[in-house]
Amino acid sequence: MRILLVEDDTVLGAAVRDQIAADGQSVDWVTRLDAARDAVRTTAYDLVLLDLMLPDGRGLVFLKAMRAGGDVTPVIILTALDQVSDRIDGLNTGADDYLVKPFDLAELSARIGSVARRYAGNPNPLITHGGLEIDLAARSVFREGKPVVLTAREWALFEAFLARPGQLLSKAQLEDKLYAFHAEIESNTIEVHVSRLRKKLGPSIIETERGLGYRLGAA
Amino acid sequence: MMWPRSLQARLALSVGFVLVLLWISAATVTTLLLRDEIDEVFDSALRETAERILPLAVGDIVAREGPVATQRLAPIRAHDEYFTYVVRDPDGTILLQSHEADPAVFPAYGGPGFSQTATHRLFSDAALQGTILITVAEPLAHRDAVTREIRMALGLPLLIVLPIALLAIIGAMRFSLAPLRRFRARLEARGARDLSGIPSGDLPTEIVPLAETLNALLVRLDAAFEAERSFAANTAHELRTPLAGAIAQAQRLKAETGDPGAKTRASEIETTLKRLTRLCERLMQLARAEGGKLRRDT
Repeated sequence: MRILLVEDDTVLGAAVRDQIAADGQSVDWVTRLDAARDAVRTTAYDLVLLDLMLPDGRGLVFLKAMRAGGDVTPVIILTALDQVSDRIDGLNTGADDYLVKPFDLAELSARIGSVARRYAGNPNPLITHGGLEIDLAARSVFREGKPVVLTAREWALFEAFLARPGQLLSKAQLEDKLYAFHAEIESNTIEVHVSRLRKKLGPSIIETERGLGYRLGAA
Repeated sequence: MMWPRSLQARLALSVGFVLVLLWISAATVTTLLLRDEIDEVFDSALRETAERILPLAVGDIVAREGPVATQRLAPIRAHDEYFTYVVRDPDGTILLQSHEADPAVFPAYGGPGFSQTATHRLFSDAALQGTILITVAEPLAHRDAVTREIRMALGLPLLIVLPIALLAIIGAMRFSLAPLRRFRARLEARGARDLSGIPSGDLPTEIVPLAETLNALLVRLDAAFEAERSFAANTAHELRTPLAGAIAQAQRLKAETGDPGAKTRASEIETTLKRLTRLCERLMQLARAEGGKLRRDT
């Protein structure tokens, strides 16, 4: 998943960014609303983490403009305002969830996963795909009852396929999902990881459309 | 009598009182002035009567034959007399008198001109070198009755007009004070927590500053509450964000380090920070409760 983090506090922002990256997601971190506007205009995010009090405006105004412009990207609000009325305002403006500072990073990860699953159409974190049993929340995969260990990058790639079953994903789209590790992305990175996934989960788990991209196949 | 607290009753009472006082003094002055005028008119009539009767009486008496005797003129038609007269010789013998004249009323002749007894106003004159004397009398009671009638005529409107005037004053008061009553009703109708301004629209100009002061006070009170509320909210924000950053960093440290000692230390830092957070929460709740109480008490 590619996530936009809008947070002006550098200490908190850095910790949140590292937490999301450690979960295997890509993060773009901006500290101002104008940068956030540019980011959502140029990149298709899977989720936005939004602080409400930013140096150049209020997060709710940004959220309202996003929703008015037809952007349906899931949004989780991170804020220090804890009044019920603030929460209601946030949810009524179009937020999907709400976290009051200070929050637990593990809780943040869980909520990101929960919101993302709901958007993918199945809130149940337990998925059965052929002979595979996948727990999206625990990030664990069982093949024929035996646990399979996936690296963070492999998991990020596999999650992207699971979120859009049957849909063709281009190499560029997949590289986007691994953006958090872009320093290491080379021309054959996607091919390398796809072949590792096939090795661990079964040769037909990912189908190749030559020249177009990849899609989730039968396990 | 207690001076009423109501502005309406005060105004009605004071205006009514002044009105009664003015009317009574106006009536009194008018009566006094009229009394002088009445005296002049009546005196002139008295003198005129004497001067008209005297030549007739002289002609009548000179032409008379035989012994001197009192002649009482019979009335042509029966009527009350305001003016009575006697014609006498210097000895006091009555030669001629009007039909209702009472000789006891007339004192001895004291020269021509006006004179007055306890009951009558008199005018005397003489003819034929003082041999025939006339005295005309008019009862003072008559003049008093006329004065009384005038006084009644002036006082009667007081009895009829004054209640009407008082009612009109009360009506005018009610009408003029209606905007004030509406203002009060608006003030009473609103909830205790409503601190918005009250429209002073149709209030009399004397009361407008009062309403404006009240509205200004409400605005300041509202601003004070708002400041109190935003202080609590701002403090919450100012404290929570750094705490959240520190806790998140401690959690990252715990997750990233492989050193068990560092992991324990990071856990301890996290626990302490969380305790600090709870303390802050309690303080903020207290501040908010205070603000809420203040708002409720209004």
